[in-house]
Amino acid sequence: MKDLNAVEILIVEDNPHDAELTLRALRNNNLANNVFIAEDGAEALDFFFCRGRFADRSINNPPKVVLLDLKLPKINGLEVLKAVKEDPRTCNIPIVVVTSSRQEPDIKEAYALGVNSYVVKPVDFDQFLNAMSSLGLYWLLINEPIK
Amino acid sequence: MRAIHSFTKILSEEYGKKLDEEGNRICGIIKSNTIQMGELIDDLLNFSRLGKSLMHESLIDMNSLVRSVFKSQTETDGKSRVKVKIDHLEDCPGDQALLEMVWNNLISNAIKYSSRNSSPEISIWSSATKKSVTYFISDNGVGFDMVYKDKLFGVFQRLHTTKEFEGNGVGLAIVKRIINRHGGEVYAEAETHKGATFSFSIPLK
Repeated sequence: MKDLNAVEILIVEDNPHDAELTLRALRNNNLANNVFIAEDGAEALDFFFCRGRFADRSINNPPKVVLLDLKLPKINGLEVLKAVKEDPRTCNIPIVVVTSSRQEPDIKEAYALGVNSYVVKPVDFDQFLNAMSSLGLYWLLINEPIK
Repeated sequence: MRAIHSFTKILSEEYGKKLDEEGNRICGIIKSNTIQMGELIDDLLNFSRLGKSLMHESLIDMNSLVRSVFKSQTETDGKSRVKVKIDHLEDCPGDQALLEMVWNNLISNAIKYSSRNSSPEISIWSSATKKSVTYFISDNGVGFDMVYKDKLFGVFQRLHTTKEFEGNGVGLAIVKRIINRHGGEVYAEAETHKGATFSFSIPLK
């Protein structure tokens, strides 16, 4: 198991094929070295709050960005977003919702809960690759996080 | 969808030898995704039709309905290692085709979620009062945490990742909608790793 404290990008995605495509986009830009994939909302929350099998992780080493799907087993993306943004220990972690949902209520609720960005996955693969690599480059190299 | 699936199949069958392992793996991903997408479209069409279609009520012979659904599922899946115990079931008034859909979903779920158990067992029984009949199906599968019970019957709601168990989260939403159209209720009880019991009631007129 790689060092969980070095994770720069947390992908929360239950579909392994979707996760593979995102990884491929990040890999094209050499951004995929410190990526961790959580497969449902419950696992994501355990990661954020260093519980369960993530007990050894330090909450002071947050990822630089989280790519959060909305449709997730057990605890959905909006519930994860709410829990993370409500807690002072995790509220500053940049969260980008990456979803196929263009539904207005989802978008409104995500912004109301404090999402840092909302991206609708393009169906076209080239556009998807572009969107994911721009996202990765922006949050890892351009954005200045709280130290 | 059919064209994508068919042409990918042609690609892997006729040109599979020219592709390397990764190429063949990718063909496999395309095929499995088109099948899943086809199932999702069918389920969503079913789900949306349920709101409007007329009900054709008759007295349902639940014993033969449940047995035939069970038989068709274990035959196609080759999952005959499931031990099943079906008690004598009360009859009830309802729509034969819709109740068949209910049992199809509940039985396939019970088979799916108990498939990791070395000796899967499914029991089906009923109990009647003057006002309604309640049907139960229990399995000794993975169960679920009751914390999530309110989500079970929602559209697209799943309690397992696709890696653990395939599914699109529409089945139980269909079950709930059908039972509600009959004027009944759906219930679920479970414990993680100890199996689940689903039940539904149908009012007697």
